[in-house]
Order: sequence, then C-alpha cells, then structure tokens
Amino acid sequence: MTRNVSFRDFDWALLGLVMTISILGLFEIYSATHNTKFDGSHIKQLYWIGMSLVAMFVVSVVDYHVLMNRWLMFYVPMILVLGFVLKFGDKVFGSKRWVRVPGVGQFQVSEFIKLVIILALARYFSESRFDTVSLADLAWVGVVAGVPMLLIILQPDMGTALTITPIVAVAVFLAGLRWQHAAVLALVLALASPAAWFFVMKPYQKARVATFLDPTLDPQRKGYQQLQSKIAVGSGGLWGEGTARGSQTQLSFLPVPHTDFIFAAFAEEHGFFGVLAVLLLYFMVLMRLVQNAHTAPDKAGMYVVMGVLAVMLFQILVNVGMVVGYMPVVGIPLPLMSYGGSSILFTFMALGLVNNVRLRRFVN
Amino acid sequence: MLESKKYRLAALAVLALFWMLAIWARLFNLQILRYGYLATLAKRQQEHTIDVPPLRGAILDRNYHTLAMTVQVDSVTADPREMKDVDAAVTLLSRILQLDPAALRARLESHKGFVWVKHRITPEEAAQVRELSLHGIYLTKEATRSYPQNELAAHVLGFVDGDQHGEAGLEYKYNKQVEGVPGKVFMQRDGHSQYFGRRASTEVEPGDNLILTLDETIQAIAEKELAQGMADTHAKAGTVLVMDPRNGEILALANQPTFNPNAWKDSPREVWLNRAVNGMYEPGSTMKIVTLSAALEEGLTTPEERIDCQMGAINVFGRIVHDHKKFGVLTVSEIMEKSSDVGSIKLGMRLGNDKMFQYMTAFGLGQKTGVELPGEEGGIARPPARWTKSSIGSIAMGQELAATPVQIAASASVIADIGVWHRPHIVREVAHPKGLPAAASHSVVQAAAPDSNDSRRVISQETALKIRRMLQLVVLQGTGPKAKLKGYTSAGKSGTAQKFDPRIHMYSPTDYVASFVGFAPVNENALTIAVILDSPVGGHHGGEVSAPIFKRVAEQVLAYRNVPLDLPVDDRTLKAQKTAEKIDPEQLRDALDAPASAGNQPQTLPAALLDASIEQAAQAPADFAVVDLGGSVTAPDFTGKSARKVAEIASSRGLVVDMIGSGIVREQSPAPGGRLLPGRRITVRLGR
Repeated sequence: MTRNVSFRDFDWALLGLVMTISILGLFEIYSATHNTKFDGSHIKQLYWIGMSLVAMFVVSVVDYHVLMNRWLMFYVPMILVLGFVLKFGDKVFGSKRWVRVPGVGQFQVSEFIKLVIILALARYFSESRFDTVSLADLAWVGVVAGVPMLLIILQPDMGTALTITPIVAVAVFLAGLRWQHAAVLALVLALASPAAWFFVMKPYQKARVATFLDPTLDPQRKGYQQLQSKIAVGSGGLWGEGTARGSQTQLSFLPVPHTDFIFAAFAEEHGFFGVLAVLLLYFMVLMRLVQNAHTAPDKAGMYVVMGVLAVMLFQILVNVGMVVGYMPVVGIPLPLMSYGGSSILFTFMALGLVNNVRLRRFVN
Repeated sequence: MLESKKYRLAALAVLALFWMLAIWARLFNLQILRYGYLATLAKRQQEHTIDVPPLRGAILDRNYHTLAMTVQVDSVTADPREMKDVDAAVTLLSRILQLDPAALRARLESHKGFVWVKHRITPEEAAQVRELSLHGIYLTKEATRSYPQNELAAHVLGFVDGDQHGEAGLEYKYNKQVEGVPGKVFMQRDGHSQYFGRRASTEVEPGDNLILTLDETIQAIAEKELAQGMADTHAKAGTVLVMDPRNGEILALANQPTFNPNAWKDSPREVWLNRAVNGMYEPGSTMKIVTLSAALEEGLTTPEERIDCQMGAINVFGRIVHDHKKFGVLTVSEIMEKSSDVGSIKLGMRLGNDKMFQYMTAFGLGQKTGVELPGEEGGIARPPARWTKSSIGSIAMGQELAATPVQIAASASVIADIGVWHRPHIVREVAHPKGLPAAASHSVVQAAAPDSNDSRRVISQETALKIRRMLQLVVLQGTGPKAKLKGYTSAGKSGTAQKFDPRIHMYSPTDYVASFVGFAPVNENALTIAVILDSPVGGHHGGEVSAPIFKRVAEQVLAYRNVPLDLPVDDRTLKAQKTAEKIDPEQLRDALDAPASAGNQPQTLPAALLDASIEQAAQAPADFAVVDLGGSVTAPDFTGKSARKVAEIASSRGLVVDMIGSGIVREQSPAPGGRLLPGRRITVRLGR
C-alpha cells in the first residue's frame, strides 16, 4: 500500500453535512439543558466534537487494510474490558456500561467494539471467494458478533447490543445471504423472541414493548415517555415554538430531552420544516456513504463503509422511530445530535473509517 | 464491484428511503394533522388554573349592622408525599380533631399531593395542630359564613352549605350577587408536578353586600315577643311581621319555630320554612277588611247602615252559617267591630262574585307580592268561574281562600296608608362593597326603586278612612281590646280560622289559626304588624292570643322609633298595667345596686317608692333611675328644664338625649313616663 494519500480527497462534503448536524445538535442540547442540572452540556459536547474530529483524522490515516488485518488486536482486549466492565464498571441508570479512563472521563466501551466488528466482518467477507454465504460463514459471524453482544446484553444495555445487528445483517446480506438461510434465520429469530421475552428481557424492557403494543396499559408510567414525546413533536406544528421555547422541553415533560429524545425536542422547537431539514441532512449523509461504498477501491472497503452506514442508518431510524411512536422506547441515541461523548466519538471514528476507504479509492 | 453487490446496495438504499418516507408521513400526521389536538394536550398538562374564592358579601340591616358575614378560619390539609410519620399524624390528629382514625389514615396514605384533613376548625384546634408542626400537615385559611346574632332573622337570611353556596333565604335568592366572582390564577406546571409562575388572569371580585329593610332591634323585639307568645299559648308555630305601611318595607320578620343558621343542620327541614311567605292559611275574619272596603268603595253601603244579622244564622245557597254570637241589627261599623259573619256575608252577596274577586286581587290576595324572598307562595284565590254558589259567603268571611302572612300584612297596610297598596320589600340595596369593612361606603348597585308596579291605589281615601275608623273601634270597643296601646292609638282586626285538616277533609274542630293584623298609631301609619299563631292551645281567638303580641311589639317598636305619643298616658291603663306587673323589691334592689359604683354608697329607697305605680315614676327624684319589669326605663319629665339640667339628669340616669334647638324643653319623645329600652335615646325639642 502506498502512502501518498492526499487530504484533498477527504470527503469534505460529508464533513460539512456532519458538522452542520452536530452544530444543530449543540444548539438543541443548550436549549434543552440551559435551565436544568445538565446546564453546560453543550460545552462538554463541543469538547467531545473537537476531540472526535481529531480522532476521525487519525483513524482515516492508517490504511484500513492494516487495521482490518489486525482486528484481533483490538477485539480480544475489548472483550476482556467488556468482561471487566461487567464485573467492576460504574453502575449508571441500573446498568454497568461505563469505565473510567483517567483524563478522559467515563467511557462506554461497547460503542467501540462496533468499529472492530465492522473491520472483522469486512475482512472476513472480502476474503470469501463465493458469492453466497455458507452456514460456516454464518457460524463464524455469529460467534464474532455474538460474544460481545451477549456481554453487552448482560450489562444490560439492549440498545447498544441491538446496534450490532445491522452491521451483521448488512454484511451478510451484501455477501450473498441465501434466501433459504434467511428463512431459517427468520424462523430462529421468531422462535427466539418468545424465549428472549421469558428468559432474557428484564421486566422494564417487557413493559416497554407491552406499552408500545398497547399504549393504554399504563399511560402514566411506561407509556408516559412516548406519549410526552408525541405531544412534544405534535405541538411543534409547522414552524415550531422557537429555540429554548418548547414548553414540553422546557418544562421537563419530555424525558431526557438532550440525549435519546433530542429529536423530539428539536421537533417541538423547530416544527415540521425544521425536522424536514434535519432529516434531509441525515439522508444526504447516508447517500454520501452509499456513494462512498460504491466507489470503494475493493470489496473490503465497501464492507467497511456499508458497516458504518448500517450502524448509522439503524440508529437514526430506531431513534426517530421511537420519538414519533413507531417503535418501543429503546435507549439508542441519535447519531451526531444526541449528547454523549462515546456516541459522538464512535460516530466520528466510524466516519474516519469511511474517509480512510475514500482516501484510498484511486490506489490500487 | 460485482453487479450483484450493486444490486444489493441499491436494495438497501431503497429500504432506507422507504423508512425515511414513513417517518415523514408520521411527522406530517403528528405536526400538521394532529397539531391542534397534541398542542391542546400539551397546554392542558402544562397550564393549571386555580380559582381564588371571592369574599362573600355581608348582609346588613337598615342601619348597616351586620347580620351575616364571611370570616376566614383555619382548615387542615396535608401533602401525603411529605409525610414522615403517618402513624403519629393519624393518632394525634384524630384525637385533636375528632376524626375517624381509619378514614384519616386512608386519606394520608393516598398518593395525592393534596388532601383535606378537616374543614373549618376552631381556633383552639388550630393552635394545637400548629404546635404539633407535623411534616406535610398544613393549615390554610378557608372562608366560612358567620351569623353573629345566631337565630336573629334566621328565616330571612337563610344559610349556606359547606361550599358557601346559599341554600335558603336571601343567601339563596341573592347567591349570585353576594357570592362574587372568583379570580383565576394561571400557573405553569412542569413534568415533576411543580408549579410556578403565578399570574392572575382575572381579578377576584368580592360579592355585593345586601342591605335589608330589617331593623335589628325591631327584629329582636318581634322575635322576643313571638317567643313569649308561643310560650304563653303553646302554639305549634307563629309569625310576626312588622312593616312600614308607607312604603312596604319589612322591619321585622319573625317565625317560630326557628333555628340557628350557624348550625342549620341541627334543625329539621320544616323549621327552615319561612312561614311569612311560604306558609298559607285561611285568613278568616281579617278578610272582612277587604269585604267591607269593597262594599263601601262600590257605594253599596255606609258605615252607619243598619243590617239585620238575623240572630246569628244565615242560609247561603243551602249552607247555614252561624255567627259566633247571636247579633240582631248591627251597623256596618259594628259588623267590623264585633266581627259578624252574617253581616259580612250579606255585604259580600251585595258585591257579587266578580266584584268580590276584583277587590281580593286588588288587595294582593291570590298572587305573589313579589317580596325579595325565595319560594314565595301566592296563596289561593280561585277565580269566580270555579266558585260554588255558596263560595261568596265563605270568601266574604275569609274561608275558601288562603293567604300568606306577608299578603295579610300588605293588605292591612292598604288601610293604614289610606288606600294604597305597597309591594312588601325586604332588600333595600344590593351594594357593591368599596373597601370593606367600612360599612358606610357603599355604592348602590341596585336600589329597590319604587316602580309603577310597586304601589297602587286600591280604594279611595274616603273609604280607607272609614275602614280605618272601624278598625280603631275594633280595638276600642270590639274584638281587639288587648291590642290597645299605652300612649298610642291603634287599629286592627282579629281573625280566627279553623284549620282545614287534609286527613279528614274537614275543618278541624280543635286546631285554629289565630291572627291579629293592625297598625299604629292610627293617624300616623308608622307600623303595620301582623301576628299569626298556628294552633294555640286553650284560648284560640285572634283577639285573645295574638292581639297581646301585637300590643307588646307595637309599644316597644314605637318607642324605639321615637314615634311621638298620640294619646295622653291614661292613668287607668297604667294602673291596670301596674297590678298585672308586681314589682319584686329584691329584684329592683339588685338592679339599683349594680350601677352604683361611682364611689357613692348604694342608696336605700323609701319603701313607698319601691312599690310605686308607674305613673309616679315621673315624680321620682332626679338622681333615681326608674326600672320596670319589662327591662325598660321610664322617660323622666324634662319639660321646662334647661339644656344643662337635661344633660345633668340624663347622665345621672344613664340616658342618652338628643337635643334639638335651644332654650328650655318644650316637647320630648317619649313623653314623660314613656318607656325607654336601655340604651335608647330620648329626643327633646327646646324653645324660648
């Protein structure tokens, strides 16, 4: 691999879109927290964005093939850390997902295992000589993605664990999943979900699903968040109530308006047109990723970019779906907008991988 | 890049696009189609309106003395979320406030942020609760209605329920005006149920004050004398109405049995009934006022015409009516004086059905008077079309019709005011309070302005004067001698009606309604008083049981109102009075000992003076107060004395004197020897 990559080839348009969304996010974080105990979160978020930009450039410099080939070097320690977190991590909101890294603060390891899984799957399927996915392939993927997923579920952090599935799904789909296998997988999933309901899911998770299916079950408790979110979005109307003037947001009716429900807060304050604009920005980001996948120099590059696309698309769709009442309440942040260092850092590092591929598209 | 991979990439892109479109559709639905609904939901949970209760207006008598007022008292509330020790709170509060511990516990263990513990507690209870200073237990001020004079004018005032809404009497009728308009305060509420940002949206408007025509003192006199009359006659119920015949203003309205509006729940429902306007009875002989007025007015007779009363029996179209006495030939005036039914029936038959009904209506019978009291009955006066042949005879003597006491008082006032009927009034003004509690500053919202319907001429002055003379003779030589007043002329008519017993569909042989309605002084028409006793035991004639109440009320009220005496104080009357009222020397001595405090030795009275007859009172030494049994003081003789001397005598006897003019006293009211209730004023006119 040659070293003559030029930052002129860096995806500046993508960076522009991403920064626009991040800045909109910053304003919304300010608006949602300026009168609460989370006041000042936007400043912290700004630091994280700055740090993440650096991380993005760093990630884009080292050839993704190098990273891909050494995936185990990242994978094994992270699995160990996940195990360690499970035993010694800080308990926040009832689950252990944070490690304290001196000088950086709290840190969510589970976000970064996703990057490693993207690299692992890209390497595995790029080396495949067949156009279809064999059962052995599925078994290998199942183990590599399954072990960290299991550890994350045990934290318990269903949301983050779920964000790993689109990586696997998209990779397997692109690698040529046979419809028979797809059918069998679907069957297994169908059988597994009742099992998950009875053996894996916590009562609060069951309640979320139950109230999603029937919101009248307990509107004051579990359905409350979703109802408040819908009211917030709806009362935004066409043009919104204005920055820092969304009553649902300002009066704390909206749950965690600066993290998981930031989209609802934005919708309330900026209305239908504001939301339309943000969704359009996200759509352009995603299309930009598809285009980068398209122009990737090799299969591995395409898999890397599509993995990133899969995670981002999944998070956006699930988060927005949750906010507008399409899906049950799952703790998945909205990439780029939601407050949270780990989430921001992961997203920018993932975009670093995309640029990593892009910077090498003319190199053969 | 393989073609199949491109195909699959495109499939993913399309999938993403579809989801994006679905989200947009949803946003369109939420933010545009359901915007109104969701924005309302948001508003409803974020905004909270609190009513600020207005201060209920006071009810005052004609001299602005308070009859009903609203005061703030403590109520106990709790915030169960703040409670630390529910057990202790239940134990202590249930003991102090006499509450059921189980019910209290249930309330304190609820998950609400606010519960009532007990409404309107006493100041002592409040002090004890305050001392406990329990977590989550609060005292808040709550308005409560207070009737400082308890039973006084209970039926007029009515009462309010626990929510301070008028439920009876004027409290009910004028609830809207007296209640005021609650203010509204908007508050914002956040997701943690915290309230902030109080902002008044509408100002609280205090209720209007009601100023009545009632006079607290006259009301007290009427109630006291009615109660005395009830005790004397063992009647089941009774009503006394005192009215100013010149304008229909009701000065007192007393009913028995009565109740305390501060504790109205303790009395049975029937006691709340205001018999003066809600009770109907057959007027009996008082109806003869109407019958004879009509006959005179129509020129069908003269007071001097002699009519054969057929030795006490008459056949009215098949119905034989007997008089209470066998009268031979009587003049029309004597028919009134002696209350001959036969004579009245003959005059009624001369009138005929239509004229009779026309005058009944003109005197206000069979229709609501329109007095400002709730639930007024119109009485029963059927139109002639529904009369039987003998009805004219019955109606002429006051049967086959029913009237309320207020109708009877108003109809008698027609004679007092020389032929003019006035609509009875009890509310003088509905006044908007300006800076309460200064009672003097009222701006009149709605004065009871006399309109054309309020007064009407019923009979000519000539007729009225003739009837008035007859009614005076009723007292002087007819059926109402017990209505004779000391120092004042009076006129009136007694009535004794058998009660119609609905159980046996007949007139009851034992139950009567005994009434007396009259006015005094005859030439000054200062007062009309109607006294109605329901089912007195023993004596049941109106002239016998009701007239004495008329007399006692009239004498005291006339003295209180400083109405000048229009009769010389008749020695014989006073002597008769004296023998009836034996002075107890012990009692008198006690009374005299009490005020002797200014360092003076209590003086011993000569025995002769102790047992003196009342006419000697005027001759009593100037520094003695003369006390009689009624609790009243006799007016000393000031005539011919200087202003300085008057003041001296007055202060030594504890009297208050209003002096008009200068020089020596030419005239005084009450006249020497006239009665004065303690604390009442004497007016003297001085001249050169």
